[in-house]
Amino acid sequence: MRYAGAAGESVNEVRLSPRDDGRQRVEWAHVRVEPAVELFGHTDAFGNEVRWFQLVGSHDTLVVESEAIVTTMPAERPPAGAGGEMAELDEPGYADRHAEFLGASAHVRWGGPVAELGDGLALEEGEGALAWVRALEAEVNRAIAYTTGATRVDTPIEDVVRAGAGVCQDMAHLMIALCRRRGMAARYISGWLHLPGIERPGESHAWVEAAVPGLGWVELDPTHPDPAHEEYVRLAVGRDYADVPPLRGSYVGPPTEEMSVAVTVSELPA
Amino acid sequence: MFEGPDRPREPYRRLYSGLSSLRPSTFAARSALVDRAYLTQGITFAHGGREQPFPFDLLPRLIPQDEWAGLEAGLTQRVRALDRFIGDVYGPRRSVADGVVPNRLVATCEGYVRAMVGVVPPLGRFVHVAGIDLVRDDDGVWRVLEDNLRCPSGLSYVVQNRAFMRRAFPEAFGDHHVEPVGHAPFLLLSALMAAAPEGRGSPRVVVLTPGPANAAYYEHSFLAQQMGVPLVEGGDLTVRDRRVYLRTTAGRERVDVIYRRIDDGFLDPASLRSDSMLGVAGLMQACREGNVAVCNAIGTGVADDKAVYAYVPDLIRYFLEEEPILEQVPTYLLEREEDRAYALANMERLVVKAVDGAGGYGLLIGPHATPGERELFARRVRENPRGYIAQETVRLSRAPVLVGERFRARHVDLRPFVVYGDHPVVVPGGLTRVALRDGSLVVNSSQGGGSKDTWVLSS
Amino acid sequence: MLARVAETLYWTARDLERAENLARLLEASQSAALEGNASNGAGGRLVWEPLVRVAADMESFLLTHRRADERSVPWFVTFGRDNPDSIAACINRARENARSVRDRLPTEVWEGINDAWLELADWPPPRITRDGVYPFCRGVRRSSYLIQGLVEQSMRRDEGWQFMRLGRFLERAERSGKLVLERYADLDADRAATPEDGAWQAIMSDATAHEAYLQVDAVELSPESVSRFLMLDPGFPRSVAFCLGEVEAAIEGLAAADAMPPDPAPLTLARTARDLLDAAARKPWGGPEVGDLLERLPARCGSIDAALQESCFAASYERAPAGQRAQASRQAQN
Repeated sequence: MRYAGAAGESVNEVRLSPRDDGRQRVEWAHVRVEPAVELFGHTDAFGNEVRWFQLVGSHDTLVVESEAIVTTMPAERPPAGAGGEMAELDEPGYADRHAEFLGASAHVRWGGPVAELGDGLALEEGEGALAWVRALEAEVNRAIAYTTGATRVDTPIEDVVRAGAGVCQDMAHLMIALCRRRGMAARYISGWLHLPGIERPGESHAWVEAAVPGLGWVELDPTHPDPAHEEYVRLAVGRDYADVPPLRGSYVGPPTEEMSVAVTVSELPA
Repeated sequence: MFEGPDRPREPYRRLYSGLSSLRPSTFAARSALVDRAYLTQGITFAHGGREQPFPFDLLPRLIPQDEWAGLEAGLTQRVRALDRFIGDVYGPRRSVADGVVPNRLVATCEGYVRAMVGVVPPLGRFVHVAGIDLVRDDDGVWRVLEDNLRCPSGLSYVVQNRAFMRRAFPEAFGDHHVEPVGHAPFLLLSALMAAAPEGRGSPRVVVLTPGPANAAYYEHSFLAQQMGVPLVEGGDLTVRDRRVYLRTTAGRERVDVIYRRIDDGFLDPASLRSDSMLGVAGLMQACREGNVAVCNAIGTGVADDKAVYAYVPDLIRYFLEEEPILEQVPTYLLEREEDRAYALANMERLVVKAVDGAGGYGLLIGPHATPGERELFARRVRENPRGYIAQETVRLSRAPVLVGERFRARHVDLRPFVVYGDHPVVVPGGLTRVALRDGSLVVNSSQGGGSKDTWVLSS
Repeated sequence: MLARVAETLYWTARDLERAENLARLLEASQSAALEGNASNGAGGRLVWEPLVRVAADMESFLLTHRRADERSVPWFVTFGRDNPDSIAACINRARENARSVRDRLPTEVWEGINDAWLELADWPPPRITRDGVYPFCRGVRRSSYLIQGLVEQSMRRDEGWQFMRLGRFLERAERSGKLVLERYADLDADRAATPEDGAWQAIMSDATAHEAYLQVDAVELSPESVSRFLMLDPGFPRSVAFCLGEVEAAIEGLAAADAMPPDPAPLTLARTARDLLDAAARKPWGGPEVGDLLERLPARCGSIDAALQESCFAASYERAPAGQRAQASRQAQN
């Protein structure tokens, strides 16, 4: 982060710390900020690890760096046909349990163009909920052409649909919207992705988790459908991007002149 | 006040006979005196871009001691239960797990602040000041209309109305024994000091205001002055080492308790709404670590949601193992299909309210609405059922109000204030609000309402 | 005390003092213009132009007015929308400021300020004609006396009171100094002006100054003696020396109450200003040294104000100059 001059009174939350869960084990993790400052951790409402810091003195660049060694495992991949029926979504228990991830949120709405897109998909419901949501994953991938630079962090979902282009964050939001529209709870995951064979500075990644009756949360990725999960490192989960930005905060000073993000994921020898 | 034409209800008889010797023009003159006093003091609220004095009616509202005792018990009970509920929502969520309130109700509530999950304020106390709106129906039954647990306003008017009353209308006090209210700011200060983080010997309390442009600015400065504590704006505070400090001419001074009159989202631009210019960056972290008490705590809106209202009697039974003392107004949750069907079919006799609406906005009074207005609300309800509730129309009791030089009967409600330090205390009386328009049921100041002094009479 | 509150109290007092000063000056100018040379068509040069120079500056005045005369100047000084320091603007500002710190003011003081503001509404613009000047100015003066009296009678002698005292006397010192400077500069160019002109009465601001002066020296009413009186008299509450003494005492009080850092720069500036005046008092009054002193004192008042901003009001804000912003964020892009 480079500011157009001296910035100060900067207060921030960082959500860049992977957490142990069924699918990944964190061997070592560290978040570092420059100018050097002490970080204070807490867990947010969604169970994500947050690091809070305050930089009082004046600075014209801010570097936030998160490093971690994580052992990932493939999720147990539910066989096709596993899980419950779409009709189970309409049971009151389901809606109440997953209420947090069923409503509209900051980036997720399904009026206008999103509804039209959804209506046009004509997804088969008879094959069970898992089949339905996998089909949706593929449809979203087809509907939005992955195009770097087509959208910005705050591009409304309607514009993404109209343009038919976007990046992983937009595709995740769209897929979440279409799930929730049908009454299937869905949430946003921010993380890192290691595409096999590619070792270059990348960007952060976003994908989706849907609550499939009978199976619980199932990971899906409309950007790279049918993910082989051991290549994904989970950082944070929320209703949408607004709940889990890697860095959020405020400062006093001139506008940001330049912001760059680099992510390097490499496979360590076993 | 009246049982029939010219037959005052028992508590009013003495007052009425004392006043009958005064001519209406005398009332009008006294009334003008009070208006002028309000203007001089700048006790105004901003309405439609202009500062206007808060309309004040000279005739006091009387509540006999025995009636008040019942209200007092009911109000403290209610506030205790609501405070426990909020602590439970941001903590263990037992009430949800045990099925007292649906998870959906919390997760979809506008006033639910996710950043507060897991945060335990000093003493575990979330509510320090509550304003509970009550109405008295035609049968003389007091009912809770709604709870205000965020930044309820009006306490300054309770104190000031009494002060002006003493000046402008001393004869009315006559041989009544009226419970004083002048100590209300002191009660508030005691409750705020009790909320301080542990180990802070003589805690530093401040009142945090959005600034002079705010409609309730008068109240903020009045309460700060009466409590003898600084009135601060966001820019006067700063966070260092996860503690909050005042910026003084000689350096920094630690703050322990913030009585804030700024809405939740605006309190911390770093962790809550990033577009807020009113708050203090880092306040949320200071709060999370228990280094400062924010009063009321952030996130109390989860309990004054109008849909949660319907569950309050159950919450009282669950958390306190007591039967609710105060009645409520029969309420329909419009996200429930059968409730919705009933409400949509009976809109001409129901009141429909937005669950997060305040100040009389987002409100439809069925019996007074045009078919067009009802249709508009029906559409809104169908689009967003969770956003609305419907209630039976309560026939509010009426009280005499000076209009021009004559007395007219107008609808009134009552907002008593509960301050909650070591234990909840109710300020005797409260703010009686009057609908100044004939027949109107809306008493909010932003909707053309006025106020009256409220007397709790000890025998 | 909160830096913002201190600054606001300081400015509330300054603006009220300014309004009162302008009202006195306008009144005195008005009566001076009625007699002597000033009444014979020279009023503009002798009375109204100097008033504009003291109240604002001639250049900005001429942007919106053709000439300084008995019609344009009273309007400009009282309500002129083109004048950010008109009496009405000062009272307006004082009221807004007082409102934002009313919890720190005794209720009666606030009421006094609010009433002064409400009374402005009694003066629709056309009424400030020649006949309106006197009653208007009298109203402003009376409001100011009332407010000052209430401040003196009801405010605790705490930091808030000291900051108000500081604001009031610094403003008064600056205005008195400017006034003398203005007339003194004219002196060489305008030796012909005699005491009878009344222009020297105008500098006295009003009858009170004149009466006080007469007690000191009823015989001589020369430009020299009047200017010396207004600069150096230790007992007259509008003299620069007296006002700077109050400024100094207020700052000392603040430092003693730990409301300012020890040995604050404003104190040094106030003390050295007093030294200048003391030195001048020991010598005969006149010559280029006086001109030099007159030039330096209003400027010194400005420096004290700037030092206050720096060491007391602004520094404690610990703020970078630009505003608060949200940290930029970047979408997930893979």
